[in-house]
Amino acid sequence: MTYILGIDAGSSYIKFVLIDETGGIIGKSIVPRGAEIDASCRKNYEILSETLEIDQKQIDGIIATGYGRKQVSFADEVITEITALAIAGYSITPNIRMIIDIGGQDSKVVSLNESGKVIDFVMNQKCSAGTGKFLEVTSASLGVKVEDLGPLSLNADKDLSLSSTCTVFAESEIISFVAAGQKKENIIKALHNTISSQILGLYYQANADDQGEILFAGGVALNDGMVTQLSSKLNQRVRVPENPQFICALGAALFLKNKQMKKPV
Amino acid sequence: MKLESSKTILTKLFTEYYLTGTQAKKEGKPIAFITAFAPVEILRAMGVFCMYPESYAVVCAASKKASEMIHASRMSSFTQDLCSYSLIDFGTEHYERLPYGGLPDPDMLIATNNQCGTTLLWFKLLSKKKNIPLFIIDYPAAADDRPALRQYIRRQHESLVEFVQQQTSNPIDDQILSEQIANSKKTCQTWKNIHELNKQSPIRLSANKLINALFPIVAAKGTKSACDYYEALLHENQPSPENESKGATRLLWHGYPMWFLAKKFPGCFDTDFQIVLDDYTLWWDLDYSSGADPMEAMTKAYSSTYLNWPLNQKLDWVESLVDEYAIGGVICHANRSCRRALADIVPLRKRLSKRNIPSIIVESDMANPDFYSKEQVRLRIESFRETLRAS
Repeated sequence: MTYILGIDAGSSYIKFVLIDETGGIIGKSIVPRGAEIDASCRKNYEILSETLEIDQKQIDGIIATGYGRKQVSFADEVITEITALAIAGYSITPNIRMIIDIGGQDSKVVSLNESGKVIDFVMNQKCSAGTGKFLEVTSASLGVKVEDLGPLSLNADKDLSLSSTCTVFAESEIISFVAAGQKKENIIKALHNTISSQILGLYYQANADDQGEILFAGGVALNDGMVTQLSSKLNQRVRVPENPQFICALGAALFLKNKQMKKPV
Repeated sequence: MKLESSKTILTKLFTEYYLTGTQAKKEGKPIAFITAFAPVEILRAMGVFCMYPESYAVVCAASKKASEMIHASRMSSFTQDLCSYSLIDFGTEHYERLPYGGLPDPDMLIATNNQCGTTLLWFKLLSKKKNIPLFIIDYPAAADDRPALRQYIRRQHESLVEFVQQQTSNPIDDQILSEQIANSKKTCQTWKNIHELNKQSPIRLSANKLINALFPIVAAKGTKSACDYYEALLHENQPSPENESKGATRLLWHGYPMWFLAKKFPGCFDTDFQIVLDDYTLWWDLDYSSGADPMEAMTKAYSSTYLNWPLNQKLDWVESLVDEYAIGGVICHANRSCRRALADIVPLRKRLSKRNIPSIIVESDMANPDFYSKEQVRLRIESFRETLRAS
């Protein structure tokens, strides 16, 4: 049996997905990015193969994607997240026409045709509005763990409105809300609403096709509050895949697998 | 007689432009600061030496001084949200290491609104601060089919003559004016012909080379030297019988280049993924074709600048370039400094999408490197390349 390793060296976390010849996921892991991307990737590659008791000689190819993709010196190939998302999304279901990925540093909306080819993509502007970083910073100012944001927001009982999409200014507004005695559940819901509005802007720019399903990928898709808000704004329940934070790494691995299958023997 | 090379003419033009400005000041000759699409021909026909602060801002950006100069402009309490060309100009007051020692002080200012509103405010501010007389020309959009508007523009051109005469006591020389207009017309035609060389594949001049050839049509349009330069450039780049390169993706760059970059366009381009045209360089191809009367020719030329067109005309034009140059993908530069240029990006992408022409947006600035995020821009362009390759 041979395997392919997909590495998504993102701005906040590095994700590893190992697939077999059928494209099935054999193992996965996620670690904080750290300062040394290459060293961190090597170390965790070792750990993953040891844990899965796989001889590295059985690994037929390694591919990297994400912001740090070019720093993974032992990768055989690199691709961008846009290509990786498209391949992974289409592998989940060919009905997918849009993929929304909210990462640590950027948000992406990718539109696909019925063959799974990218027909358009839009990414957030240069600032961190509408990204995972926005949630990370603002949750810290509320003293709430990122993973608790979703459940808390579902208990909101009042609509608040954040006027700023800027991470820094939003943080100031949150402090004002807290000082005014607003419940944190309501503040968190307002945060989700702000990000969803940003994503909606990208969605409309990406020449969206209303006929298909929308896949929500990236670590933020684990947040049920965000899923609810996005679905409400898009008038459609977004589909969250199993392990949404590993979608890019999976897509990269599938890309390499497909490429190797096309290679003449 | 051996023709001078385009490179030699360009070097001379560039050096003379800055040296002549300084020399003219010493000799007491009148100097005007003018905006990019002001009727320079009238001024030259009245013995006025014209300098372009916007072009100087480009020189400062290309010399890697823009960031420091923009920071210096804060000493006059300007916000970074203004157009970076104007901020660079405002920064000259507080900055010592100016390229070419800076521009000489002008005796008059001529501003037009056929490109944007910021230049008007910028020049108004200069006028107030330095107590320099200012003349503003209003170019209504879509004046072509409306005789009353054409007449309105013509009257403003005539008023400009009166204004300059008041400032300099120089009358207008009709013969020089006619020569200037003829030269401008020829320069624009040759510039267009040079671009059209890129309709073939492989292209003759990279978009970067075209950008580097822009200076004469901006700052010396109307002169014989500018005509000679573009004639030489055209002559040196005649179509060759090389084989067509199959499978290469021909790209259109929509909007301003990034002057602070050595190659003016970010990302990794090669013969398989190549910018064949930046439509910005064609903004200077003005239409001087309306009759033999110089005033009428200028009315048409200066009211019909790209940034002064109605939205649909802009979109039609870009779409026509996509067809003529066999464009396979469009990279739109969302230039933070230029609101007018920003406004057409989203509708343009919608139009292109209907025709299955892929496009992306990269966000940066024409002159302020502080608004350029290298990795983010490169990621977008690299992703674009991958998606085009896969389609």
